Amino acid sequence: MYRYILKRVLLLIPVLLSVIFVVFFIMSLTPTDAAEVILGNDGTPESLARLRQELGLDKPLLVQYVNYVRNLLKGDMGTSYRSGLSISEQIFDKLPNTMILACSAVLIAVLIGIPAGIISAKKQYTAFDNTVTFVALIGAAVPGFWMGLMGVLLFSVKLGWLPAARMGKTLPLLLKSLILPAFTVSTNTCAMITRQTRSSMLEVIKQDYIDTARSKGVKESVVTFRHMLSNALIPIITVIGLQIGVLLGGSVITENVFAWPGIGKYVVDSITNRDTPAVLGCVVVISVLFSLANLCVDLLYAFVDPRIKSQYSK
Amino acid sequence: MGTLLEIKDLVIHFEMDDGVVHALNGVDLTIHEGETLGLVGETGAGKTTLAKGIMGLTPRPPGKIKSGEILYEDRNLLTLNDQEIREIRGRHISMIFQDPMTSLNPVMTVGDQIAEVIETHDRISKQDARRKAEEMMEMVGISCERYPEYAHQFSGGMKQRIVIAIALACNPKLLIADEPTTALDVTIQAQVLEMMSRLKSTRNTAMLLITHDLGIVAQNCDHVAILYAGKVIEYGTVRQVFKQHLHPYTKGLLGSIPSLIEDVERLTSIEGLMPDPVNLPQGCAFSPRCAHAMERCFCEAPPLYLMEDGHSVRCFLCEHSSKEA
Repeated sequence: MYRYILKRVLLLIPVLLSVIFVVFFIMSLTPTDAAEVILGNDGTPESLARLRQELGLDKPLLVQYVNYVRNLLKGDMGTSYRSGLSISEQIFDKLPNTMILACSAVLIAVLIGIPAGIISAKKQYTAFDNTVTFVALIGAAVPGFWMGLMGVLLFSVKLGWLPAARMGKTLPLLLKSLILPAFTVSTNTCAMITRQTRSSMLEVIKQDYIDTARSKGVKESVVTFRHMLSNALIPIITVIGLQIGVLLGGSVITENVFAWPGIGKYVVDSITNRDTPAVLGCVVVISVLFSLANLCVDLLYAFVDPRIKSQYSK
Repeated sequence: MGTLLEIKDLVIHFEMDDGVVHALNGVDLTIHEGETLGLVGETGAGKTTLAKGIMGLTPRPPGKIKSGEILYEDRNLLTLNDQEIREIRGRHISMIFQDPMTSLNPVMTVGDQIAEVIETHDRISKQDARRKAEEMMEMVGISCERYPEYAHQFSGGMKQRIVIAIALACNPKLLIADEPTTALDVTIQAQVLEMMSRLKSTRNTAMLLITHDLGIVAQNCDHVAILYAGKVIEYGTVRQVFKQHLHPYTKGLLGSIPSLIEDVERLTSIEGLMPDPVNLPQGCAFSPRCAHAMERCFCEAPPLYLMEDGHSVRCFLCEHSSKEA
């Protein structure tokens, strides 16, 4: 088991190196001249050339890549072309905000989605099930920004209950300002978790071991949780894990709608400012988080399903 | 021997989108304390429906119990509430399912699965339940060291032993075994059956043994009921059914067993197929395949005729020789 974990962690290294390379390569194709971005209209041809040399932009792409990775290992992602601030500091400033949003969204989605999926599956084809399926379909289909805007319209503009944007500074204000964006982000995730829970529960419900469990005379709640849910968990965990990965990368649109100072807003701002190293830094952090979320899911499998665990220990 | 379970005119239908499946159409059966009753029938005759019906495990919907009674120690199981039926399951009546490969929970240790039934019914501590579960494992011939292992680490025969341990853990009075050896290979079949009959005789457990293997019936059962299209068409002791069978279907069934003595090219079989339970023929369900069918067989369903010594047959051919005639 430990050897498996070690192997998986080591495997992250080539994955991340390739991701960085691909992003690096694509960014180099954009017709952005960093020197022009920094100096603006004041730059003379000489000063532009000097700056390019200072930034190492005159070197071949591969050398630039190696230099970037070398700095990255020291925790240095360079400085922003626009603000001149350290990018790594900027990102780690904004990352907790994104994490708060992502984690609360996933928590909401799990707390609503899993019970809804379970009840829906147990009452298949009833009015409840049809309603849940319909609502989940809408939840999966409606784009996040629309949900967000409608939420703002109703709860901030009409009713005035919740702030329309920005993150609250104190804890009560923070919680209040979190409600709208968190529910907005969770809509989609919740719909996916509900649908996945329903379908994998339906698969398990028909299994013979459920009849065995019932024939022992155990309570229906025990049958549902100990025998059904624990067997239905693998695909549900997969969906949750992927969603956490996606959301940690910043819910780009929602963060912008609600002016939430997270990584998603930072990335969009950096793109508009043509701030290449900031974009690159964000992508690196996002891909690391995404890979880690996936790794956690893979490791969780082993704890949920002993059959998978026995494969690992071979 | 007192009566343990009495099924009276049980009718179970499955109401599907494309028609009503007439799975059981009036089954009458009696199981006495400590006896083994064999229930024989082709695939689709309603054997499993009957077993699940007794356990209260008929999937509803689409299943629907139209009428009938299942009397266990004079209590009608069909009118019990959820709580009461749960107390019967596992404690008084337990069941072994057809396929051991799929009837154990894959993410729970086998030991915990045995202990679960004990904890549910006996008010004892977790440690005592575990100890009792370990005893059960030893009793079915599996070392209790394998308590913390999972189903995938066991072979088919071992899994069926675990299932048997679960079923017998609370000393039930009735064990329903739904084709317990169909999924096992022949040598393991013999071992498992031998163990089951040993355990049931030491504990005086009655058994409803569902099978389509007549050899198993001959070896293990006291009484036999032949099920066809959801009705018992012949019932009697093993001797009566095997030696003095009266129903043409039973005759065909026994005739299709290949003989070891005679040298034959082709296996004998009953012409035709079981009727579709969605549209059963009028009259006797066997009439379209029956060589002795008379005109009335096609429009009138025969009642169960009582013959000598508890032997009963559902066929007009026996009308005149029955005790009531």
